[in-house]
Amino acid sequence: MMKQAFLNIKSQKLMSAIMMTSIIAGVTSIYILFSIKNILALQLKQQLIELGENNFLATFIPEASQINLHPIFQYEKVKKFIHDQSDKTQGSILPFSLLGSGLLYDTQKYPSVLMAFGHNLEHSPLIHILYGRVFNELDASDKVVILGKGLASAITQTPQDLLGTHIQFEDQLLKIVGIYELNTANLFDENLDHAGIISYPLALRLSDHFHIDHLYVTNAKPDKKTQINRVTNFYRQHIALGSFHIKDADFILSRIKAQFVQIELILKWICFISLGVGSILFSQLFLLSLDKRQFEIGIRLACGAGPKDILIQFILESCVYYLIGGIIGIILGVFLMLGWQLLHQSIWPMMALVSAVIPVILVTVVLGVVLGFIPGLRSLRLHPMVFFKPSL
Amino acid sequence: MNKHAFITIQEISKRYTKTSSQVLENINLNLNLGTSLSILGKSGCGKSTLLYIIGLLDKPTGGQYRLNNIDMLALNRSQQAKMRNQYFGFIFQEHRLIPYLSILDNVRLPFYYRQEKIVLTWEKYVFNKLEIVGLEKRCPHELSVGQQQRVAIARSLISRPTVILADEPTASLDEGLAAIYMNMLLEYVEERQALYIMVTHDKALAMQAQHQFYLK
Repeated sequence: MMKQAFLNIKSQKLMSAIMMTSIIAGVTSIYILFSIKNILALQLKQQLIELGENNFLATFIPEASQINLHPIFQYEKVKKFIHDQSDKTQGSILPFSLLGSGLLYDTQKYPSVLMAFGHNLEHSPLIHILYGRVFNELDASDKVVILGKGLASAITQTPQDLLGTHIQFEDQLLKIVGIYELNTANLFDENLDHAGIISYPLALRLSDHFHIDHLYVTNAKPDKKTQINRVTNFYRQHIALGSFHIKDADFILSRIKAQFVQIELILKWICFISLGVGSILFSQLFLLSLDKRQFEIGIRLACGAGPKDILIQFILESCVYYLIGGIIGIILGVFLMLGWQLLHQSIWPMMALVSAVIPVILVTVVLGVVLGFIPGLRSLRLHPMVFFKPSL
Repeated sequence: MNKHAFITIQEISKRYTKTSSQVLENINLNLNLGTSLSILGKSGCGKSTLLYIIGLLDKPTGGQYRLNNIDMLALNRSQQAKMRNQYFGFIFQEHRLIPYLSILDNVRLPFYYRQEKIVLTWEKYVFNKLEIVGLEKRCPHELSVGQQQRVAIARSLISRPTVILADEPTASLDEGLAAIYMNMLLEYVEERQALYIMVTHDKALAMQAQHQFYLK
């Protein structure tokens, strides 16, 4: 029967070519859309890993707080908590790089903005240095700062000229050693562009001079997500007292999901429309070919084919169309995606392209069966005389 | 009812739609094995309809039909398909070959729908008898009208059916060939104690059958 399906497709060259084209167009477009969806999902997941999984941001809400605890002291509480929770039998190494944590000043409330990070700042996914350098451990005894591009641009049109000069934050003069720019994807949704960053030891030294309302915590060991969860929970239960917003991996995930649901919905609709158009075209042509093949159905019935055999015949033919069209469509889709990648010098994970194949195959199989079933069923409803005397 | 009749048709009637006129009305037939019957009548009198009812390709609107003492009208479509495959061989007005299948595949078509394997000696005999040896791999469009009709006859005989139903089987053939194939089919009926039912306009051809049935 499979052989007969192939022979039939081969015999109707023009009709098969048109039907195949509609399938290829549909399959290629859904392959590309599935690939784009996968690429987006993987890239977002990567960003989540880089930006969110090992970090959290606690934002102080002064209006809601009954106890105006200084976040630095709160941070010391966290440090103690982590120390207490550590497994001392295994060397009692703190899971968090305390120097890699920092303080952030609210840009909305204070004209002079300041936040503090430790030496891990160099590897922070949140920013990258445009001019100068990041402060290092040797700067711990100095009063040095790196400025956000927005803040530096507000002072001068040539931010690089600020390197080596001093800026006054509150009543402190800080030496500018670098200018940073925000990475585009800031999933914490914080405006850090109009801020200045000082080292954590300096922030501790000068804590009496600044009002701190943001605390950024990062995990030095990226594979230890559970540790950051423990600290986040500690904050929620023992320190925050309703006075902090905690933005952690869950927060970022919920934001990604909210954004992705929209994208996914749009992609699903495009898939639905492109497949729908292709399928309607295919089914119409398939039904048209059915009219030309009425006598063949008659012969098969006369030779002992039952309703099931006729249905299987049509489903098989439709599946063969979708199998060939699907394979060509997927190959075409892969080439188009790789071509686009080369043309625009993008780097897409191959996994995204490969994993898009499975849902596309599933969709084509389902369509092949459904679109073969309909004309098969229709042919069985025709009056037998139509098969032998089409004029009736 | 004739107890020995292989096919018994009683009071068969057929109307295509509720509002249309009766195509067949109270038809009665008893047909034994080893005989041949030609159905004659004017165009539109229901000759082909009666043939297709006998061949289980159409359903009557009334009456009874038993084949080998089995109530054919009580069977569902799948069971009727099995009966068609098991008992009947069809020859149609036009050669009616499937264009994308080779001659061999066209002839072997009944065997696609049954579990049994083809009897190669019989196949060889039929191919020889109908002079279609060497055409097996060809496609129908590569054959002449006469050759195509011979292939169609071969297809009807390949499964060694008990009943051969023919709708104007020799319409596309010249008189000489028509007589040859008619004789061949009658020989088959006699040798295998089968039953040959033919619809025809050709009175001379019809007279070659043992019985004639006129439809008004």
